[in-house]
Amino acid sequence: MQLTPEINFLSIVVVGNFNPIIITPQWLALKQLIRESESEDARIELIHPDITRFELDWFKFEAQHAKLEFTCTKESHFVSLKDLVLSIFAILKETPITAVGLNHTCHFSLRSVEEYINFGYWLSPVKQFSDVLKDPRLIQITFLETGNPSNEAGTLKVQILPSDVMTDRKSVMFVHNLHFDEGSLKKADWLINLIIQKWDESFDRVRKFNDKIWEIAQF
Amino acid sequence: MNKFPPLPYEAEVTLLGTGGGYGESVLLKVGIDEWIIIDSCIDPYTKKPLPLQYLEELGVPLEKVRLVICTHWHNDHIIGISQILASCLNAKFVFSRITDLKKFLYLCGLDSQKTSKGSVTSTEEFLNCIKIVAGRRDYFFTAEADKKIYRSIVRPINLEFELYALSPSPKVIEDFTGEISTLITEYGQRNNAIINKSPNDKSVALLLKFGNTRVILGADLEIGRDENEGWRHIVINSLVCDDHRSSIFKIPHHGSENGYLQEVFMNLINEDGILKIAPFARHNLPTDNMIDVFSTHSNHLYLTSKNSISQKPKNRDKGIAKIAELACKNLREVKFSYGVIQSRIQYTNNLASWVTLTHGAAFQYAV
Amino acid sequence: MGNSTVLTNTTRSSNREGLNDSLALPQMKQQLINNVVARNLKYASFYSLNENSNSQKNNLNLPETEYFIHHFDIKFLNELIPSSRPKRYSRKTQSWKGIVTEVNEDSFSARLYDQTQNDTYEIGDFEIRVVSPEDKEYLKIGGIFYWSVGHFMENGTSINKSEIRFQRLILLTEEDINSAINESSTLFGQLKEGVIE
Repeated sequence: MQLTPEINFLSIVVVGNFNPIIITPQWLALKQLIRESESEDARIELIHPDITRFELDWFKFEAQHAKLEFTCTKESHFVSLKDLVLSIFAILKETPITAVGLNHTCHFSLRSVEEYINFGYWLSPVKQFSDVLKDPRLIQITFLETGNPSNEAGTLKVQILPSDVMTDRKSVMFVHNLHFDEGSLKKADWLINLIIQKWDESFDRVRKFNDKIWEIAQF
Repeated sequence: MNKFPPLPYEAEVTLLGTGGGYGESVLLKVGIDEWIIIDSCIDPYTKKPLPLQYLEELGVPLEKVRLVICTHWHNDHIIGISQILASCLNAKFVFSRITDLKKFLYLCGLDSQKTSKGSVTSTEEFLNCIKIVAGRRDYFFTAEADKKIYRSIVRPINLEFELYALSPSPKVIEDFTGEISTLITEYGQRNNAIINKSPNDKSVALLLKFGNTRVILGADLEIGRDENEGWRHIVINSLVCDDHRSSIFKIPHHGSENGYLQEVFMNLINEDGILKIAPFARHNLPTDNMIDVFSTHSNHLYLTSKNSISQKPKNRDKGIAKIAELACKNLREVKFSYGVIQSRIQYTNNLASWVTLTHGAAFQYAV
Repeated sequence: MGNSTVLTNTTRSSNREGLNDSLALPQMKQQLINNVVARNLKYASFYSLNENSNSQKNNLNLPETEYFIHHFDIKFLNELIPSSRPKRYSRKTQSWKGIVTEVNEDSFSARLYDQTQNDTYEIGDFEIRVVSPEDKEYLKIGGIFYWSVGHFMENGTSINKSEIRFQRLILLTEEDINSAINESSTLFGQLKEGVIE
C-alpha cells in the first residue's frame, strides 16, 4: 500500500562553534529576515550565553555553543526556513561549521491499531522473544546508511517510532536525519552551497525511503 | 506533419508553439543538411527543449545544427536554449548585439548571485550559453540590422542560402546600454526577479534568402515608436530587403497590434503568403480582431494553438481550492498547448511551392 | 524559598556538580522552573545567592525572590525547560511561489508556481489587503512571495488559512557584487566575437 505523510516537519541542524546569544528575534527583525511583529510576538524561553531558545509562529530555534537547530512544523514554510538559514549564514559568514543535518519528520496514520502493531512485527522479529517477554512490541527502530563512499552525498539515518503528534495509537513517525560532515572546519559558504544543492535532493531521498517502506511492508 | 527529415534539396521553416508561457521556436533547414534553431521552448512536464525533441523525432543528428540564435535575453523567451546549445556541439551562438556586453554580463552575474542565496534568476539561460561558448573557446556572433549572420552554398548548383538580421536598429542598441544600468539598479537586489518590460525592441527579426525565395521571421519585434526602431526602421531603412517578397512570414509578437505594421505586408510579404502565428493565450494574443486583419492579407493563416486561456486552475483538492479562491481571484492555469507548423519546399525546382502541414494543437485558420 | 541554602554559592570557576546536587530536590527545581518560565525572562543571567553572600546580594539590589545560578549545566537546563510537543503545525496544505507581474491600486497580479507540481504554472489576481503591512515594501513588479493555503493545527484547533509571505533574503553584499564583477570580467575576457564572411 502507499501512504503519504499526514504531517511533515523539517529541521536544519548546524554543528559548529557558535555564540548562542547572537541570534534572537530582535536581531532577525533588525536584519529584516522576519517581520517586526513576529519578533514582538516571539515566545522566548531563554536567551543566555550558553543557550537560547525561542519560537515564532512558523519556526522554533535553539542555539547552544556546539549546535543550532531550526525547526519548522508548517510544511508551507519550509522554503521560508531555508531562506532564513541561508541569509543568517550569509551574514555570519565567518562562523566555523563542521556538520549539517537536514532532518525530515514524517507522520503517518495507519488504518488500524492492529495494522500499527503488525507493522512493528514486520519491521523487527520481536515475536521470537515471546517466551521471555510477555507480548513484546517494537518501540523504535533505527536504520543507518553506511555505504556512501564520500560524505558529499550525506548519510541517512532513519528512526521509526510512534508519532508524538498524532497520539491515536496507530500512527508512526519516520525521523530522517540526512547528515553532512566533511570532517573539517568549514566556513558558512560551505553550508550555504550545501543547502542549496541538497535541499531538493533531501526531500527526494526521504520520499524514496518512505515509498519503499510502504511498498514492501506487510501487515 | 512529416515525421521524416526533409530531403537534401528541400528547405524547411517550422514554427513550434506552446500556447504562450513556455516559449516558441523556429527551426530552419538550409542547404543540404544544415539546421538553424531560433529561440527555444520547453515541454513543462518533461522540461525537454522542444526543438531537440522535434529533431530527434525526425531523426536529424544534432551535429547538423549550425546556429543557435537567441532573439531575447530574458529566460521567459529562451527557456531551454542553453540545453540546446550544449547538445549541439557544432552550433555557433548568435544574439542581439549589445554594445556594453561586459556590463550586461555583470547584470547576469548579479542575477546569478541571487540564485546562490535562494532567489530566482531571469538571465540564467543567456549566461549559460555564454559560458558554453567560453568553455568551448568558440566565437559568438551578434545580430543587428542588415548584418549577415549565416551563409551556406549548395554545390554543384551553387545556390546560396543567406540569413540576415533585420533588427535591432542602431538606436535600439544604443538605448539598451542605458537600460542595463536601470536593470542593475532596479532589480539587482536579491528579493526581486527581473520582469522584463521591453525586450521586444531588441528582438532579432530575420530574413532568409535562397534563390528567389524569401522568408521573414518576425520574432517578437514590435512596430517601434518612430522610424529608428522596430518594423518602422526596417520598412524605411533595410538594406537587405529586396524586390522579392516573403512567401512565409512568422508574424511578430504573437499577432499583437503592437507588432502589426501594414507597410510590412504591403512591401515585404507576398499577397496570400503563408502566415504563421504562435499565440500567447495568457494575454489573449492574437485577438479575434487581429486574426480578421491577418485574414485580409492571406488565406493561408496558421496558428500553433488556440488563442484562448483556460479559466480554471489546476486540478486539486476541493477543500484547498475553496480556501485558495478566497484569496486569489481568477486563479487559472497557463496550459501547455504544443503545436507545430511545418513548411517544406523543394528549392531546386523554381516552380515548387511550400507544403505546409500542422501537428498537435496547430491548425489552419478557416476564413 | 527564603532559605537559599539550597543553592550553592558559585563563582566563575563554578562548581556545577554541586549545583546539580543541590537542586536535586524536585519541589525546589519545579519552583525554579515556574519562576523562570512564568516571568518569561529574556536575559536569564543566573548566579547564586545564599545566606553567606548577603553583601553580594546587597550590592546587586536583588529582590529576595530572585534566584540565580552561575554557569549552569546545559543538560540541567534542558530538564529545566524541556522542549514541548509542537502545538502549531500544518496538515493538508498547498504552496505556490509567486512572482508579481503587475501592481494596481487595490490589487496585484502574479505568476504562480505550484510547489508540489513542477510543471505548468498559473496566474492570478490578489487584493492588496491580503499582503501584510510589513511586507508591502516588497510588493513590486518582480517581487517574490510564497502563498500557502490549507489546514493548520493551532493549539488543538484546526484552522483554514491562506497566507502570503514575501521572500526575505539578505541584500547583495559587497562580496557578492565584487564576485559578480570578477566573474563577468573573467568571462568577458574569454569571449571572442566572430564575423560571418
